[in-house]
Amino acid sequence: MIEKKVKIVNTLGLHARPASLFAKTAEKFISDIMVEKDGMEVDGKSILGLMMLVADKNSTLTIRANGPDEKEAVETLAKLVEEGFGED
Amino acid sequence: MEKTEKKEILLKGIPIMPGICIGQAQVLNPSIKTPVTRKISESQVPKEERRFLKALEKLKKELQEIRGELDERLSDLINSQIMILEDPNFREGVSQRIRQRMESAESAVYRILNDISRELGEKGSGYMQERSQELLQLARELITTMQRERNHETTFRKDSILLAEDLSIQDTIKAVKSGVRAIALAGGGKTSHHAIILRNFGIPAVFGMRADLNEIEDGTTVILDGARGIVIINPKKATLERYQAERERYEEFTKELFEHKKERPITLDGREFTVLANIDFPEELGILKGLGRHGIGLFRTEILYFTGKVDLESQRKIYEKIAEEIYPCPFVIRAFDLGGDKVFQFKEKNPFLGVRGIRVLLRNKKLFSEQIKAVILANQKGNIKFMIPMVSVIEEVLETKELLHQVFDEMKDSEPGVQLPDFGIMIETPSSALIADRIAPHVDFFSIGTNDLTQYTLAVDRRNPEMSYLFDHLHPSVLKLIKEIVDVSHKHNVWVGVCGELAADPYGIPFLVGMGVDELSVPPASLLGTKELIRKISVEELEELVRKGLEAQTSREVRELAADYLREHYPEVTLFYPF
Repeated sequence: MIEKKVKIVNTLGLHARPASLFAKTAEKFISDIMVEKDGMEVDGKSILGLMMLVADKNSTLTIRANGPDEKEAVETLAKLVEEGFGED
Repeated sequence: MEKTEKKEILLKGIPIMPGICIGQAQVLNPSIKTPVTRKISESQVPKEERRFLKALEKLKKELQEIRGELDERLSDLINSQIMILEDPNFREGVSQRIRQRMESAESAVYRILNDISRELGEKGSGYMQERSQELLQLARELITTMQRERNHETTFRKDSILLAEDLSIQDTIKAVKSGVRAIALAGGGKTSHHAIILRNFGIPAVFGMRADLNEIEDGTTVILDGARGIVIINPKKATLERYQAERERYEEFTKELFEHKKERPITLDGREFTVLANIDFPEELGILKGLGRHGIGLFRTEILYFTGKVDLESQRKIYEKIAEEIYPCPFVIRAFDLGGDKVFQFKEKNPFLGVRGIRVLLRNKKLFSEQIKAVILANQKGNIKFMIPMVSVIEEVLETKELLHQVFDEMKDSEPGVQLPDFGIMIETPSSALIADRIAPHVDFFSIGTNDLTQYTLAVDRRNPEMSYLFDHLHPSVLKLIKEIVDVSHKHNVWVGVCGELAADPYGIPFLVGMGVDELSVPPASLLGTKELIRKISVEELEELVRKGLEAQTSREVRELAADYLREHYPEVTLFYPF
């Protein structure tokens, strides 16, 4: 299993559009993907789960992946978050 | 034991379409507006799960269909809604609630989305709080889809009087086609789309009825008085007899109209007016034919959009068929009037002030150009006129005109014989009314849409039953705007018609005739009545009435002026169309 901590940088946080982008990207990997914020862990392939995190700007997420393509999954998803989902 | 006679109940609502009906009630399932938790029994679990999944797929499909026509920002929103629907966690969560907590599909959907929405609302920033509303909106859409499905399963009984909380447009049409004789709804406003449909088909109706449907038994005797907006449940013998007599008099009144159907609408002082029909469905041509020879002053094309007939060939066929059948009478086609209450698109806070009418079309040039092309191709005989809805600034007129000419120029070589249709606009915003003089040089005709013009002038939502006391197209402010438009039209030699409800209102017609509009376009059910009324009045006398109406203080005063005049010239009409 691989994990990485990332900070939300886009102004509006992990709202519906970024959450759907995240879930869609996560779905492309075979590995199980979990995302944690403040002790709450959700399925990274579920848009509703991600929205439940209520991750505003500057909050920290831990992305975890477990499976054959875990390394690539964490890197790709971390990059997506760090680049602010192409927003701002 | 002796059966006690049931109590007579009198219910009041908004009059939508006159006519007296006596018959058996069909009470439609009351719907869940604010989903309280509804428990189900174990045997219902599989059915509830199926209902949920079916609605989910249906809504997903609808969303996917409209996505293609939206700009990027909006399709993003739709995309995330689709993803929520596809989210296995969501499906599983709802199914679990149905199975484990024995909740109805509606309750389960609402609880799950409501919980998340509340989470976002409480913990998130301002932006997230706003977005949390979108989840609730999605819950509502799903619930509505499930209930629509349930209503679809209902069969409407022929000859019944239908009582329901609300009906979808599709169900309204289905009810009419099944032979329902009259309709009373708890919801609905005076000029909502259902009202328009029912008037077109001549189905007596009352909306905004204050009643608890749970207390009305299916099959009880009901009287519906569409002109007064009254519904009587379990009428006493005396009431029943009174209404039977009334119904006879009403039938006599309408019989006379039919006897005069071939007479032309010429006033007592010899001025002829053009009276045309508003239609929504090609099927209504049949009704029109039974009423004599009439052109069409407003063909609302939205139904083609909703039934998926937007490709060039389907549109052309329909337009051409109608144009040919009514030739040489004119056929006015209105471009798709989408947005507002007429399409489930995306959620705007204020859809009537948002992307609707021409604003939608100019953002969806492909859809718009196809429609223009179909209209031009169908104009083989030259009797088609084309107009655009919801104009608020002159740029919209100029841009459309340019597009119209561009499409025409591209076609004329390959399609010999095609003709450019007359081009006009609907005037239904105060801004377009006030700059009509500037728009006039660019158009062939104006058509005044009084429903929206009233809504926008009085700032009253026309669908809101709570506001219907303020909604009156005979308010002096609306009258003043109409007078302005008519005067400008005469000065610039532009043909001017009225196609809103005002054109069919017996208390409105005297003012329109007095101002000298060229044409009135009315629902088929009002055609004969409108023409008969014109034959009973005189333009010269009415000029004085118009002057007084423009100076009146209130809508009531305007109506009383018309009523006084009509009582003298056509007393029957004041009897059957009280105000």
